[in-house]
Amino acid sequence: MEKALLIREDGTRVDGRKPDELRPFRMEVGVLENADGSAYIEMGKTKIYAAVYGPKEAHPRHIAQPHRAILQCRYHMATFSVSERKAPGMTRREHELSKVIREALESVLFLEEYPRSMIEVFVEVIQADAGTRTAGLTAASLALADAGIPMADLVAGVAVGKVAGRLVLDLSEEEDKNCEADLPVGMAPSINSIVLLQLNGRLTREEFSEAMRMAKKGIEVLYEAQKKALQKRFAAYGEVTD
Amino acid sequence: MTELVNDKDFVLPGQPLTDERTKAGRFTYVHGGLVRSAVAGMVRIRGQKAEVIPARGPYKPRENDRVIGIVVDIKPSYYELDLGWGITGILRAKKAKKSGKESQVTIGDVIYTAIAFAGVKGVMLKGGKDAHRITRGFIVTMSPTRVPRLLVRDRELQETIERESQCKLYIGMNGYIAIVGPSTKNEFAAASAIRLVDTEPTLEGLKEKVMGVLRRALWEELVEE
Repeated sequence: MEKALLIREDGTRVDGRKPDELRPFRMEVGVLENADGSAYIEMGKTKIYAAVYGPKEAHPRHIAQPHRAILQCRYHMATFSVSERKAPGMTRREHELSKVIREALESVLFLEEYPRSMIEVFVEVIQADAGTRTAGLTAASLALADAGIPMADLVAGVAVGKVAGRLVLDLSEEEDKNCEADLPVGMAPSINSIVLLQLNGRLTREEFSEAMRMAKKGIEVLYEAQKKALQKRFAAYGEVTD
Repeated sequence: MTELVNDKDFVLPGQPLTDERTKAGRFTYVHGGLVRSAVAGMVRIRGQKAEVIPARGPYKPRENDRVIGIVVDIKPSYYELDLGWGITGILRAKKAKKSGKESQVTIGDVIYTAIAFAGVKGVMLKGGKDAHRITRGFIVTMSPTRVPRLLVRDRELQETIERESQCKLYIGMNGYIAIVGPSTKNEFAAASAIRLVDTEPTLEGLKEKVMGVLRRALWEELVEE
């Protein structure tokens, strides 16, 4: 009964979006003064801050690698980010997401440029309304670019889900809870590389291809917004090195 | 050969710069036959190289860069200097001892030196005449990407600050700047000017603004006296 309500008769979704439409979003770079790099993203009701510290001395020192920097990532949801208070400690899910975000970022960062050091990425979810891992990845990538850490490309992410038998882009919380499949995708669009790909549920081969096509389309929109946010951040830079 | 951007264009990570692989310079990489930017910054096309000057970013050690390091450990044959950004520089003890009349280096000492080698083996620092121990004044930090602002046009801003504040500036490319002056008042005035350059590097007429900051700081002090 509930699932039927998620897609209307005219094919639009419960919040009025088309199946391949993103939620309204906003990105900002350089929002935290104390971090070396930072970014803020809103995707619908999801609100996330990302902060980067480093490169700095690796602690404890024995984790330092002689040929590359160590990347540490912490994805965390604030206690007030969900409707029922979340315990402040790190859950299994948060550990998992920290790992997948770290691995996605490692694939584009040139960590070998800063041997023996450590770079820390903090992704703090202020308000959760689905799509936090992909929005967190998008924000973390912006924060790293803001910190000046060399990278092959910016990374943007979005999820595609199967709701009431239809593929839809960028799930909302309501859709996420009732979906048959959820496919978060992270990409580095300029170099055409997939950096994150997970799938909960089942999709046919055709559905998977179509979902990837939709994800790519959404990511390209987010990527353009990322570029604009960075250009805005460094708008006055032209005169600095004259 | 095609240049896909112009000199001084602002570029972002992943953006193609040129299709000639041999032109890959600093903060660029090659992917899919194209030289691309690895950071957000300004393109500089100089002869055979296309490089990017990062808008922000950590210090990356380069041979012959002048740097300021703080002694953090003393080993039997070398000193470890903290250069910031998680970088530890190695200064051989023999070389360090030759550099000054007072050969005893202690933890916390500030050394102004240059990078002899930076690579997989770490960062080796130059000793002898190139190393200088700073025994007075204090250190301020600024973003390493802003340091060149003090040095452009034949060190115009550095000389202005030195002349007006009567302080000597030891500028480390790692973002550490030692200020040594006749009094703390002069040193604080110089520090204020450096802070202005760090926070407002794009100000129009920066040199005049820097002179204004210095004169105001020093004049107010004189009035108080």
